[in-house]
Amino acid sequence: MSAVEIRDVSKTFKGSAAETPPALSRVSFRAEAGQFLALLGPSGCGKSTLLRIIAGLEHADSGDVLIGDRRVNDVPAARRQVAMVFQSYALYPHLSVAENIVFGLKVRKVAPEERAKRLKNAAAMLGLADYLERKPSQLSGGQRQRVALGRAIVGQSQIVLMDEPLSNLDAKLRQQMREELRALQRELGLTVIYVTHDQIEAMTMADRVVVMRRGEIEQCAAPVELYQRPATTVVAAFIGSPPMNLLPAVAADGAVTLRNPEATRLPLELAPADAATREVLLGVRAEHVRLGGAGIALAGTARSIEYHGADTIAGLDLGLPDKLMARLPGLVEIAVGQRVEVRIDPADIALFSAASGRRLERG
Amino acid sequence: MSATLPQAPTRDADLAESPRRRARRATLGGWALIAPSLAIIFAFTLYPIGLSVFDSFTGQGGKLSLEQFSAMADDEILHKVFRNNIVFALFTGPISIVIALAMALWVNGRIRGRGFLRLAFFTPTVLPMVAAASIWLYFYTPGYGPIDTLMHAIGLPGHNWLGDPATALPSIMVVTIWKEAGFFMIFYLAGLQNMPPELEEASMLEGASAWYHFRRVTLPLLMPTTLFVTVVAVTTSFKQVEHIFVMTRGGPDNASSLLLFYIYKVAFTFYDQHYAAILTLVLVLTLLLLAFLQFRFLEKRTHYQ
Amino acid sequence: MNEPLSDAAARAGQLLVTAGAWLCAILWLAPLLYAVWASFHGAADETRFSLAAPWTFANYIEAWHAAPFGRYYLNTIVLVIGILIGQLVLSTLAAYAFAMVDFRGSQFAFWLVLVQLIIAPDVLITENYNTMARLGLVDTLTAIGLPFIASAFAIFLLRQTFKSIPKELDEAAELEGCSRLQRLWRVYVPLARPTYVAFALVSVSAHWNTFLWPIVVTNRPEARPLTVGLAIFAGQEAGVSWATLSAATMIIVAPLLIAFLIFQRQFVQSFMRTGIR
Repeated sequence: MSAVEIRDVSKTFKGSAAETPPALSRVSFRAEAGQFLALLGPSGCGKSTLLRIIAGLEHADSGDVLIGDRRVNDVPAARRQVAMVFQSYALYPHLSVAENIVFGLKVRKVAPEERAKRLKNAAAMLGLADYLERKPSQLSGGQRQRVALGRAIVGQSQIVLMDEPLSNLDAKLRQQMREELRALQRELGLTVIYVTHDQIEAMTMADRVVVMRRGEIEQCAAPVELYQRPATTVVAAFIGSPPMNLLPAVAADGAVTLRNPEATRLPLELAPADAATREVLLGVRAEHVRLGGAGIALAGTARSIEYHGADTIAGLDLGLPDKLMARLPGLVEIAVGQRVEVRIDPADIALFSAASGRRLERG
Repeated sequence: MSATLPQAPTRDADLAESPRRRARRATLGGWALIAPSLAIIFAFTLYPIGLSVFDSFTGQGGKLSLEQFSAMADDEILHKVFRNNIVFALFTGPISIVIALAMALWVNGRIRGRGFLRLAFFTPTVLPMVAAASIWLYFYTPGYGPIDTLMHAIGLPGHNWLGDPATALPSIMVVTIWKEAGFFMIFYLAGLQNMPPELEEASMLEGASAWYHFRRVTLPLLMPTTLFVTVVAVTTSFKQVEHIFVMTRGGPDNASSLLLFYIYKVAFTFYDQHYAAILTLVLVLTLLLLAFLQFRFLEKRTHYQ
Repeated sequence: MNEPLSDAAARAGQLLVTAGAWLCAILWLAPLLYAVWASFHGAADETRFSLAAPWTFANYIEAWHAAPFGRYYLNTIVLVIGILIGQLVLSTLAAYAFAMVDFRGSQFAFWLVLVQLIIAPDVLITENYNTMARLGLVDTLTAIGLPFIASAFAIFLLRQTFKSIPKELDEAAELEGCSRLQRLWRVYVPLARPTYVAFALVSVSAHWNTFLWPIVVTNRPEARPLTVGLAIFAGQEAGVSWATLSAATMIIVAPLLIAFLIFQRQFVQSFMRTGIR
């Protein structure tokens, strides 16, 4: 039994234009109980819409929404027993922190002693014990976020939805909150569905990540898999910093020829199923582009050198539309404009169809 | 003799101004800018108030006396008129406000034809009260006015609305409510639109019904608007008299007369300017007291976002 | 536990609310609509709401000749514009001083100004009438408008607006060599335009409809505005027919109504904006 399941959900917002693209197109995924699942994608990809459909704040045009194996499409939001943390926290400005947190408990007529107990636990867990009488306007952004969390966990629902909760915080606070959120989720055994456009957040916090774009799911997998075996060019370009290099090439006669001036030939074969593909994108991560060693040689002119301390990111012009980014260890003695030769191990290369962006199987 | 040239003042010292001179220039400039406004306010608001205070404590001969006060104590009409005004304020205010809130909720919600609703509710506000009163004067005409016609049509007897002491004041109150509700609706609309929509969604997820959310979240957050609107309503009920002019002239037997109208009659029909002065003072004090009370009462229960 | 009825119940509730709202709206418009109807129809057709009833302008012509409405119109327009211009100038200067100039006694002066918010000049009719009489201004438009040229409301609003304008804009202008008044004119006034528009609409509405003070301070029609004209017309000893009265009412009300219909949103937004303190 999964905690939350989405089956073939589609939704189109009625816009003024006759042809409004759908917000969601036949989206399906599962979140198991106790899992931290991230919905990741650029703005407009439909992740927030999907979250709101799970919450019951929006309705799917078609498809099923299941919570605990129960179809909840027609169940109003108030009865779905999911908690939600909004991007803007949605705290009641006229109520104190304590009153904000127990708001739902009062609605559901939980006994006062039970209310006080849960409030105390939540406050202790989130470090809010000293702020219970303050109003939201007297709190910092991070504190308000904790109050929103407190309200979410005090209702003791097993499913918590979060809509970009850290986006209004500064970088340092965000990092701290990432750790705390994850720890909280583990300790309480919550199923969390977490919407974000920040791939670092998704990669560091989630058990599984659903990468979305334009209303469709690109890939649903654990962070490791997303990084090492991206299913589409969208995922490959979205995950990782710098994003995966995607170089245009042609596949023919059991080899892949790069579209650079030297027409470098790489002995890469496609599996029979994909053998017919001609236009491909050659994918290789920046850390797999090395100076020296074994592998296929590529030469280019250094256009940018960024020294980051532990490593150096170099951008090489290979005569292709995009630079080849290489992550080289430590300090590297390369000047801009210098001709550089790098090596790539064929095992580190992934091939994608240029037309569809789908990953191709190697033979 | 060593001749030393006097030190040429540096550019800084040349352009610098001592803080005191700057403050004095600011004070002069500030007062100059506010002088015209202050002059008018002094001439037509502060000075008259002072005059009426002065006149209240002097008798006919110009000497200090309290005979005005005893005159007031004996004035039955004044008591009646004052009572009328209080009743007027007490009823038109809250009723208009409740209707206005309902209107605002309707217009703000997802109802078909919101633009039309807003237009319909706000149009009476745009009319001059004189025009509104003229229209309703006809409506209240006994026998063949539209209201009586309607009553006849459903089998009820007609009524002399404006001529019956019992219904004269309420009839005027209806006109006031009709005219004011739309005006207050606008302020509630502003208040409603200022509220973040996520609050309603958060309440939904917490299991609260729409009514619960309205009572515990929307209404408290609208308190600043309610305060403002109440002050306006009460002040207006003491300042507006054209409906009386057009519809009843205060009759029958002062049943529908209000304080300001009575002051007008005393001053310009009975030509008793002296007495009018102390009546004006009563009005001024009432307005001040009401403003103060409202602020104290509602301010305590108001949360400003 | 599924609730298949909840959707239907919600829809029924929504229908009720919609019906209630529409009923109230029609009720609210009815008196005015009726007046419009009556003004275009002869006395006989007043209550005959059939489309066949003949439309006529006769009422309007009769009303227009029955009282100097043309003169009333002129007076009202001049009055309203004059008051507005005065208010804008005086209040801008005063609001700027209160908002941006730190001068001794400003707090005290501001409290004095606020008195006018609670005690309007047209409440103090006897004293102000005497003042006007002494100034020899009785029966003039000046007398009607003068007490209102200072507007505590405008000062309050503009002060608020000026204070919310970022100081950097003022400082940048100062660095360019602008004097205080130049900065007021070039920086603050343009940025406060929404407030000015909002206040202008509120002021025009209020003073178009002002009644008691004009009737106190004028005796002859030459100086009277529309509202007084209509009240006198309606309250005539001989009585006046509803047909004519409704036409007279429409004559007075029409410009405001038409302006309102066209500029609905601005009207509504203006009143909204001035209410948010």
